[in-house]
Amino acid sequence: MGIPTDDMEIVQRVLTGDTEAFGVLVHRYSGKVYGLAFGMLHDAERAEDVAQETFLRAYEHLDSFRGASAFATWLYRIAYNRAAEYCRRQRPFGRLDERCRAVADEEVSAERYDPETVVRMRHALLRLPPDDRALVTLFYEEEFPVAEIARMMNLSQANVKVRLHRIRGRLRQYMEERL
Amino acid sequence: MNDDRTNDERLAQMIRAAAPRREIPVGLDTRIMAQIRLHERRRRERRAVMAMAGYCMAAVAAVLVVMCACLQSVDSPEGMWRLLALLAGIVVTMITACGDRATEILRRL
Repeated sequence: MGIPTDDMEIVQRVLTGDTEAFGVLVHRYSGKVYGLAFGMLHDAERAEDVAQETFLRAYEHLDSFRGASAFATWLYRIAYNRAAEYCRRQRPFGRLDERCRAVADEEVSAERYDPETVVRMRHALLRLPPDDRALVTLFYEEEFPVAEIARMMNLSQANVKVRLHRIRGRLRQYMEERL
Repeated sequence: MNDDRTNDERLAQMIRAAAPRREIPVGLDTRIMAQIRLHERRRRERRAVMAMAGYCMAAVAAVLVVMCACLQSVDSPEGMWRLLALLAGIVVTMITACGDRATEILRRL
């Protein structure tokens, strides 16, 4: 029997005892989960920890996934909560450690903007609270619709829109400050 | 209005351009699956131990009930010895049958 392509079918297979089928979901979403965690934490080690914990937690609680939302939404929600917990445990917001700065200053490969602008934007993004960084990652990088993001972050759609609007304003302000 | 939208689009492009390089760590999928397999094995072991412990307790309780019932019905010393030999045989058979598993359970407690 081949591996099903639909997430829900794979979930059903895992629930009937086929542990290895979960590997398909891991392969499909590990990069994205890692990306979200990295976007929030800006730390490769901690992002990897979050990714591992997210999948383990998802596996443990797979029977509680009823399919009311897409599997990806459910998984991102777990990842977001785990990463947010890490953020709460780590340093107080606003004090960036060396690793975060190193990420912001790392080599720029973008062709459209000059490297200095890109690094400035990275520093501006780092000044945002982790929750807002998650919003930026989900909306701009992963390009999830507002409704999905609202479900992942347990917010209303209006709230997501307002926060995105404020984030844009703040980023513009941060970019100007550094000029 | 149009200027705002243009600005927003430009900002969005800049954000995407500024997304830090995030190469997925080598072997992340393998490590995650190894954890899942370990978790699953432990869960199965825990279930097996619980089932075995339940089985042993039920068996011991059954032997005790039989022993009490038999002891009450014995009315001579010879009958008592025969009964004790029979009970010892039952206990030895039980230990032989589930001795390995019982040792495993005790080791894990």
